[in-house]
Amino acid sequence: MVFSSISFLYYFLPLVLLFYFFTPEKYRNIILLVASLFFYFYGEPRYLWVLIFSIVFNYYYGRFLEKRKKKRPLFLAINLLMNFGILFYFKYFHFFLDNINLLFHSNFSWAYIVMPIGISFFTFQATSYIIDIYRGKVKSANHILTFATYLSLFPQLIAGPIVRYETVEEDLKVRKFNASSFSQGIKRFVIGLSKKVLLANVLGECSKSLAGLASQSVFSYLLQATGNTLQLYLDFSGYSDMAIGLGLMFGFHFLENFQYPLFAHSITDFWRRWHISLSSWLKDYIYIPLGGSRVPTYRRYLNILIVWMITGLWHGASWNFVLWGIYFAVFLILEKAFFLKFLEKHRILGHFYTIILVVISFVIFNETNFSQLVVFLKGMFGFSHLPFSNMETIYYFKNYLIVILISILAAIPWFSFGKGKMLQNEKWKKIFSFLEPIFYLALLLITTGYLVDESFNPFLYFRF
Amino acid sequence: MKDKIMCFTFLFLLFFLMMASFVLPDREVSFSERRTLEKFPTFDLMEVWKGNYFEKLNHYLIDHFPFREEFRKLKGVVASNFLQQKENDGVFIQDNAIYQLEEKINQDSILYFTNLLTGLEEKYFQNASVYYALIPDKNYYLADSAIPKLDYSEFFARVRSHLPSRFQEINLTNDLSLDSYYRTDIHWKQECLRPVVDTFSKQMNFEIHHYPQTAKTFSNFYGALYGRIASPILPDTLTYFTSPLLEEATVYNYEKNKEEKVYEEENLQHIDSYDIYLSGATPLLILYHPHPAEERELVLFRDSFGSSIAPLFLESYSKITVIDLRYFRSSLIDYTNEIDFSSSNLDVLFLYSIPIVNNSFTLR
Repeated sequence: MVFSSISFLYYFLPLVLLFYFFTPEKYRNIILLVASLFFYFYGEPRYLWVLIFSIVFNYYYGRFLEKRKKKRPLFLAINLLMNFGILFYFKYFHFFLDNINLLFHSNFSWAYIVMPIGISFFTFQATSYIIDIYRGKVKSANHILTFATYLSLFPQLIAGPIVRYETVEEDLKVRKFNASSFSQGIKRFVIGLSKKVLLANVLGECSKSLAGLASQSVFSYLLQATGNTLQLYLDFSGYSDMAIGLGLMFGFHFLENFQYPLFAHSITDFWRRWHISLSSWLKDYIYIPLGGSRVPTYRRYLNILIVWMITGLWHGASWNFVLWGIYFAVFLILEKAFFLKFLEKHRILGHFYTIILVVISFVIFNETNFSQLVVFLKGMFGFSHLPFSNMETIYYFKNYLIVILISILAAIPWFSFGKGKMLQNEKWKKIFSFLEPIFYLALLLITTGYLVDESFNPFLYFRF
Repeated sequence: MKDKIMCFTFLFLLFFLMMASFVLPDREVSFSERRTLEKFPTFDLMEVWKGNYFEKLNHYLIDHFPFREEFRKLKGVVASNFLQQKENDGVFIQDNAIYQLEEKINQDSILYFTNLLTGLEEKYFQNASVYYALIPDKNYYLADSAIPKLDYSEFFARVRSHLPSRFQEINLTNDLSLDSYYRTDIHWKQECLRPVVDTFSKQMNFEIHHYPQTAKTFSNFYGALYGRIASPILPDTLTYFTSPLLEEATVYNYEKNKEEKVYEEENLQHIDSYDIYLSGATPLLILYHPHPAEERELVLFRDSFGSSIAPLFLESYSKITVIDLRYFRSSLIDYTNEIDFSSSNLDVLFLYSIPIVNNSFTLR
């Protein structure tokens, strides 16, 4: 089930809210667990067992690990092997086999494997839980129900953010209903839903139309690249907004996953703002154990390269994702070595530099075929003897212009700046208070209209 | 207080629409979208296991969502008025009319189409006079040069170049205009076909003395394109011309194994009112002239455009065999025993709209 669907919004959510709030507090985790398992089962009936296995295995392993007086690395290694072994099988085994065949001219084959949705997210959550117990950073969950609720919690189950146990440990024990928090949750959810349905999906249609043009132009490639970048951001950050909003409705406080990354002034800054839960996971559980920054320079750069190759692979079992990771690693290393301070001083220049590199990065991200990638990049930079623009490109540009402009506005923090100043004025404050609920209600009704008439609604981050 | 209003409004909307969907009766058909709506899926454990059950349930819930039409219109208004999107999902609105966007020539499809025609001609119609005509879609007549279109002259040239010279081309482009097409549909209007019929009569050497004159109309005709947009657009009026000959003529429907009228008026109430013409999408029909002056037959290979024009040819033929290759396999033609392939009084017309030729893999 996806958040941006009629079945979720008008059936699953109200029913879960109804059962949840009419159940005594001490049983509410059971309601959430049952709802979450059903939520997963609805979208992936055949692989519910993978999630249940992960819950049971990691819960008891956490208990076992905690009880050991001497926490041997071997105990941790066994758990990681199991967790990442399952992830490897479902996500990377075919990729591995294809490359073995390519390398050794062999002909190994294996049955088609369907990847359970959200497996990367819940595996990373489970391993962070185990590592944190190993490090003595958190105590293991006192009941399997608590851990199961944590790992399967439907707001963040299938597309993140990657929530660590320590973040929601208290929320799992006690949650109080609070109209202000619930209202914040609604607003956050509606904003996320609108980003996804009204902007990301429409940008997806734009890119699809442009990709199918009979004759391409430099501008059509540029427009596709920009549209894809905005679509990815709005899709994924929209999902995170919805997850955070739903969390608030049920009394959970998830950490932010996006902080206007397209407004970053360097690649270093971009990765502090984009998919924060993943980059901080990789930093805490891979980069720092590798030595982090407290190693000789060459090792530090090697560590960056390793971490970003893993980041790339996390996004998908394909070489273009690895290339995407290396691409970022190279710029991160260059920035650290030479010009990060310069970019921090010259922010406007930094914004342009970052956005250009990010747009190119998402061309690499989106194109699994290398020859197509070369065609796209050559076309985009005017090396394919294409006209700068043509009638077809202009037609689609005009057709999607307002959506593109709103998407750009949604990607920069202009509203946060303006809102703060506006609310200092009492008159504006009253107008704002009056209009705000109407605005959110209107957005909800409009997105419902789009969902009822939907033709294009894939969640891009589901494949991870 | 503000927070409470927000919570109440949100929860009220969610619960109200959920309860309304439980209370309101299901509809079977969406006339505006011209399709039957999804039924509540039958529970089947295997289907649940495969994930198909919930997928069907999703479709069902969307199809029967309360105030669905109003929500679709809201989307249409936002997309076209606020977001200024002319085009959505390959369909666009221009001057209160709906068009389907198509700008890429599908060379493989043209080849498939011309090979199919060539094969039929070689196998069955060596003795017949063979004609073909491509019906331009209404985008051909759009004056707005800022809208992507097919390169029509290239399209005509490619089809011509792949067909043997025995195929005589009939050009209809000068006989039609934008007004010859419905605003909400892809099809041409029967009331605008006189110049087209005259061109066919001239090129195929038949005469029409009593062109049907009695016009009957059906207002509130929402065409196929209307179903693909959510914006409010005024309906068309569907007109059909009849005459004593057409009133008397019989149509044998092979699929239904029964005789029908040229215009089955009850079909106006179908999801697609265009089914009034020769019962719409039908694999094989035979139109019989009630009092033929001479034995002259026409085999008309057609798509849906052919339904409205075929009756207008009947005056000059004793029999018209109407074949729709989307639903009738071409290799089965000789099993019908209806066509005298050796007759020298046999005309064969392949009449296809350009969108079908450009997406011809449905022809068999």
